[in-house]
Amino acid sequence: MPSAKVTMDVRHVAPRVSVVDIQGEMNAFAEDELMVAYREAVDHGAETLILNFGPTTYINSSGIGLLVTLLIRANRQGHRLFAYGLSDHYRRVFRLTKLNEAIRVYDDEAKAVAGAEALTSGAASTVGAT
Amino acid sequence: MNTGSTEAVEQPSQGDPPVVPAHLSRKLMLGAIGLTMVVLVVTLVLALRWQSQPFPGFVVEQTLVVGGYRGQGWGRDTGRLPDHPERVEAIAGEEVTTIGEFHATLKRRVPGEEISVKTVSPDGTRRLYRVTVRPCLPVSDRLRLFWLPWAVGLAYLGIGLWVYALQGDTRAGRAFMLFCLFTSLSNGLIFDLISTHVFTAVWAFSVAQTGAALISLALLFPQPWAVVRRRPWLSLLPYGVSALLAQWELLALNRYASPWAYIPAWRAGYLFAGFGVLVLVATMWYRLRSAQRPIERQQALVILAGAVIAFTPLLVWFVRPLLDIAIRLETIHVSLPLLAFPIAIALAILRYHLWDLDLIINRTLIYGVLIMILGGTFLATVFGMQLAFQRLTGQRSPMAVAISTLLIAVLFDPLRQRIKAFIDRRFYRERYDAAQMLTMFAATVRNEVELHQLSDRLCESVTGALHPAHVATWVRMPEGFVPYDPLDCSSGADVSVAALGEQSAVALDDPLVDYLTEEDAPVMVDDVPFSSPGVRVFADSRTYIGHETELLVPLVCQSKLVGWLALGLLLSGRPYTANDRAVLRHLAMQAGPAIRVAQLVREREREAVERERIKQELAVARVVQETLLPRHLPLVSGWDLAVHWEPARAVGGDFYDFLLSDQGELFIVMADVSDKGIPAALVMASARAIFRGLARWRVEPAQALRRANELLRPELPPGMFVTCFYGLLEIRTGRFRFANAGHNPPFLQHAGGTSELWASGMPLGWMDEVAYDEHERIIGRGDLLSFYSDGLTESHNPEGEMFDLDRLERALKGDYESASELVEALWRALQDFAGPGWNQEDDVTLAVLRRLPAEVPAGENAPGEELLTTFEIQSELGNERVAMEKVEKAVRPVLTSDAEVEAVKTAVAEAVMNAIEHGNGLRVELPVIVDVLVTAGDLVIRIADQGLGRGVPAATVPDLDAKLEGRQSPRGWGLFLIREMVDDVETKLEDGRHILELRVRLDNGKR
Repeated sequence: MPSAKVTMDVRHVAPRVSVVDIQGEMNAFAEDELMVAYREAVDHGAETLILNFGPTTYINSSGIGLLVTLLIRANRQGHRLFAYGLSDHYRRVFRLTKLNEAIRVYDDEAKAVAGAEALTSGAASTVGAT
Repeated sequence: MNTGSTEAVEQPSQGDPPVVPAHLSRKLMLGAIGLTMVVLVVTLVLALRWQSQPFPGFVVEQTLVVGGYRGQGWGRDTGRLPDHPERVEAIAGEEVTTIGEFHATLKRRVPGEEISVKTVSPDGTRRLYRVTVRPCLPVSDRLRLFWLPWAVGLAYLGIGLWVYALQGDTRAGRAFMLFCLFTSLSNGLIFDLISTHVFTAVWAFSVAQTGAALISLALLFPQPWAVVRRRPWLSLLPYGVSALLAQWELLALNRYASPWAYIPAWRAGYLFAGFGVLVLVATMWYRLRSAQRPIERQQALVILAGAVIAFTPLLVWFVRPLLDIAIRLETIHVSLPLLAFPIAIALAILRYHLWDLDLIINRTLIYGVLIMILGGTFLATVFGMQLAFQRLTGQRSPMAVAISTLLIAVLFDPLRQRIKAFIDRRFYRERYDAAQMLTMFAATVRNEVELHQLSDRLCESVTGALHPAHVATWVRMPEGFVPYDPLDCSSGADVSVAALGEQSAVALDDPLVDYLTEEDAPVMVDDVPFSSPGVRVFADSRTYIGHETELLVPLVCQSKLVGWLALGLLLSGRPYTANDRAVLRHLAMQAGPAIRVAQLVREREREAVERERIKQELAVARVVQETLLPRHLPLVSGWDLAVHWEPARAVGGDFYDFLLSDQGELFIVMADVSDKGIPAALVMASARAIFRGLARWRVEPAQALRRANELLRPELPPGMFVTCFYGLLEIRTGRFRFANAGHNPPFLQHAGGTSELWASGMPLGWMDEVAYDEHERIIGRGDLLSFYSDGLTESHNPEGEMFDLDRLERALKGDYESASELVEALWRALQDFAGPGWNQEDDVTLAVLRRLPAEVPAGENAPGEELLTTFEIQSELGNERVAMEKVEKAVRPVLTSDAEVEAVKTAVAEAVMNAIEHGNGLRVELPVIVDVLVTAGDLVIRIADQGLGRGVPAATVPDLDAKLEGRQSPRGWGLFLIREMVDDVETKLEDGRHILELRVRLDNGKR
C-alpha cells in the first residue's frame, strides 16, 4: 500500500526560526507530515521556516505541488520559507519551476539561519542566498 | 373487546348456543319491540289527554299515595297541598278508595273550583286541605315531567332498534335490545305512573327488568364471557330474579288495604337495577384493564365513561330511598344523563369504524328526513283534525290523535322506501356494498399482474368491506406459504415479513394446505379439525405478529392452493356472518387465478433475472480470463508479435503467455485445456500461474514442462489434461529453445520454406514423471513463427469438412508485412471456410512471432538498435521509484553525467506516475510497460499504459506566480518537468495503448 515514506523533524534553531528536516520522499503522501511540521513550527513562534532537503531522497512533481501549497499558506500567514541541502539536480528543478524565487535557497543551515535572523531583525539581507 | 387470548372468540359458525330457539327468540323480540312501541304511543295519547284535564295541584300514585313531585306554584312547600306519603281518602267530599274513583271524581270538577282533600298519613294522622282546581297541568311541568323522560325513552328505543338491526343475531345484540326496551319503558312511563296509572304495572315490571338486562348485558356485551358461553342459561338468570321482584311489586300495587306496601317492593326493584348498573360498570372496567389491543381499550374506555355518566344519577336515585339521603332529584337529572350510555356506544362505534360509516350516515339521513316528515305530518293532522272536530262537535276529541297515529303507521313504510331511494340516488350513487367491492376488485385483477400490488388490492378490498383487525395474503412460494405484505389495519403500518420470523412460514406439505384446498371456502381457524405446525401458526395468537387469526380464506386455482387470506377478528367485535363469508368466497374465486397469474409472471421474471445473472457472471468471467491473458504483448525490439484469441464460449480453455525477462529472453507459452467453458477456464487459471512462476525462475523448456506436469497432475480432474508448447527465445540472437507437451507444433516460415517445430512429449496431467525433449532453432531475420491451437485445424464447415493442416499451410504461404497481417489472414481464412453462422466448436488461438528483417527503414528498428531493458510495473503510486531504479541501472552505461541520469530518472518517474494515475486510472491490475532502448544515437524510453486518460486535456504550462495567486492549481508540474528533463517527448497511440516516448540525444563518443 502506498503511504508516506517521509519523516519531518522540526528544530527550533533560533527565535522565530525553525528548521524542518525532510527525511525520505517528498511526494503526494508527504502532505500530512509537512503540514503538521509547519503547524508545529508556527505554533512555536517561527516566522521563518527553513526546509532541510539534505536527507531528502526523492522529490517529484507532487512534492513540488505540496511546496507550492505550503508557500501559499506561508505567504498568507506572513511566514517565510527558506531551503538548503538541495542536490544539484533539485536546484535545477527549483530553478526551472522558479521555486527558487519564492523560496530562498542556501548552501547550508548556518547561512540559512543567518539569512533568516538578518531578515527578522529588520535588515533586508540576501546574505548567502543563491 | 375481548377478555383474553381465545376465550372471547365467538363461535359464529354455530351461531349463539340457542337457549331459546332462534325463530322463537326472534318472534319474542319482535313482539316485545312492538309492544313497547304501542305502549309508548298510547302513553303519549293518554298523557296529552290527561294534561288538558283539571289538575288539583298534586299527583297520586296507584294506591292514592300522594307523589313527591313538585311543580311551579303548586303550593306544596307552603303546606297548602298534601305531600308524600299522605294518602288521599276523600276528595271534594266524596270518599275514594281506588285510583279509578279518584280520577272519576276529579273529572267532574270544573277549573277554578275549590275542593276539599282529606288525607291520612301512615301514622294515622288525618288532614284536610282546600285546593283550587286548575284548568290543566302547567306547560313547564309537562315538559319536565312528561316530554323529556318520554323522549329519552324513545331515544333508547331507537338506539336499541339500530343495534338490534345490526347485531340481532348475536346474544349481545339481543341483550342490548332488551336493556334498551326496558330503559325505554322505565323512562317513557314515568309520567303515566303519576297521571293515568294505566301502565303502572308495566313500569314496575320494566324497572325490575332493567336491572336484569344490565347484568345480562354485562355478561354478554360485546362478547360473551367464557363461562356464559359454556352455560348459556346463566345470562337468563337475572331475568328470573327480576321476575320475582316484579311479581312482588305488582301484588303490592293493587293492595289498597295497605297502600304503603308498594314502597319497599319498589325499593327492592330500584336496588336490583342499581346492582345491575354496578355490575355493568365493573365488568366494563375489567374489560378495559384486560383488553389487549389499544383499540379495544379505547372502546372500553369510551363505553365505561358513558356508563358512569349515565348511571351515576340513576344509581343515586335508586339508592336514595334506602339511605334516606336528602337530595332532591328531578326526573330531568336522571333521564338526561341516561342518554350518555347509548351515545357512548354510538361514539365507540363511529369513531372506530366498527361498522361502515357510509351506511351509518346513509341511515341517519334517511331516518332523519323520515322523522321530520312524519313528525310534521303528525302534528299537522292532529292540529287540523282537532280544529275540525271542535268546529263540528264543539269539543276536542281524542279521535284526532288516534287517526293521526294511524295515518303515520300507514305512511311509514312507503315513505321510508321513497326517501331511501331518493337519498341513495342523490348522495350514494356509488353506494358501497359487497357486490360493488367485488366488481371493483375484479376490475383491478384484470389489470394487475404484479403480485405485490395484487396482494395490496386484495387486502384493501377486504379491509374496506369488513374492517378486520388485520388481514394478510399468504402466497405459495418455493420455500412454503409465507405472508405477503401483511397490512396491520389498526396501525395502518406494514409489518415486514422478516419481522414475522421463520416459524410463520407454512410448509407446502402441511395438512392445512390439503384441508384448505379441499374446503375451498372460508374456514374458521378454530374449526380446523386437527393440529399441525401450520394450524398452530394461526391458532396460537402469539405466533403470528401478536394477532389472532380468525378466518382463513383459501385462494384456489385449478384445484391448486395458491395462497390464502388470513383475517383477524372484526374490529366491531361481531363474528363473521354467513354473508361476510359468501362475499369473501366470491372474492377468493376471483383472487385465486389472479394470484396464480401474478405468481407465474413473477417466476418468469425470476428466471429471466437468473439467466441474465448467469450471463453477467460469464461476461465477468470472460473479462477476468482476458486479464489473465497478456493484455498487451511485450514490445520486443527487433521482433513483431500478434495474437488472436477466440473462445468458443464466454470463457475458454486455450491460453497463451509471453513473458520478457531482464536477460533479454522471451518466454512463450501456448496451451490448451482439454475442455471448454468454465471448467477449462478454472484449470487454465492455475496452469497459467504455474507457467508464470516457471518463466520467472527462468526454467529451461523441457524442465519447465516436467515441473508443470508434476504440479498440475494432482490439480486436474480425471480425464482432463493440458497440451502446451513452451519456448524460450533469446531476443538478440534469435536462438529459440522449446519443448512440447502434446500441443500443435508451430510452423516456422524461413527462407528455405515452411517447417513444423517438432518436439515430442505427453500432454500435462496424463501421467507422472514424464520427460520432455528439448529442441533448438535459430529464427532468422524475416522468419515467421506461427502458433495455433487445434480449434483452428479441427474447425468444421457446414459441409462437415475440417479446416486441417493443408488449409493452414496454404494460408501461411504468402507475403506478410507484419505479424498481425498474418494473424488476420489466418483468422479470415477460417471465417471464409466456416461461412456465415459458424458454430464455433472449440477455442481458437493464433499467434505469430516475426523477426524483423535486417534492412528496415530508419526509425526505432534501425540497425544498431539495442534494447537495454523492458519491464512492467503495477499501477500503484510509489512504484514509479521502482521504474526509476531499473531505468537508472539500464541507462547509466550510456549516459555520461550524473545530471543526465538524474534528469532521466525524474522524467521517467513523472511519466510513470502519469501512466499509473491517469493512463491506468490507479487500477493495480493494469501494467505500465517500460522499454528502454538505444536507437539511432538516441536513448529512447517508452512508457506504455492503457490509455484510459486519453481524453484528459493537457495541463496548462505551470506558472508559479499564477499558482501562488491562486489562479492555477498548486499541482500540475509533471509534464512540465518531463519536457524540461529530456530532449524530446512524443505521445503515441498503438493498439489502444498510450505510449509516452522520451528521447535523449546521445552525443558522439559517449557510448
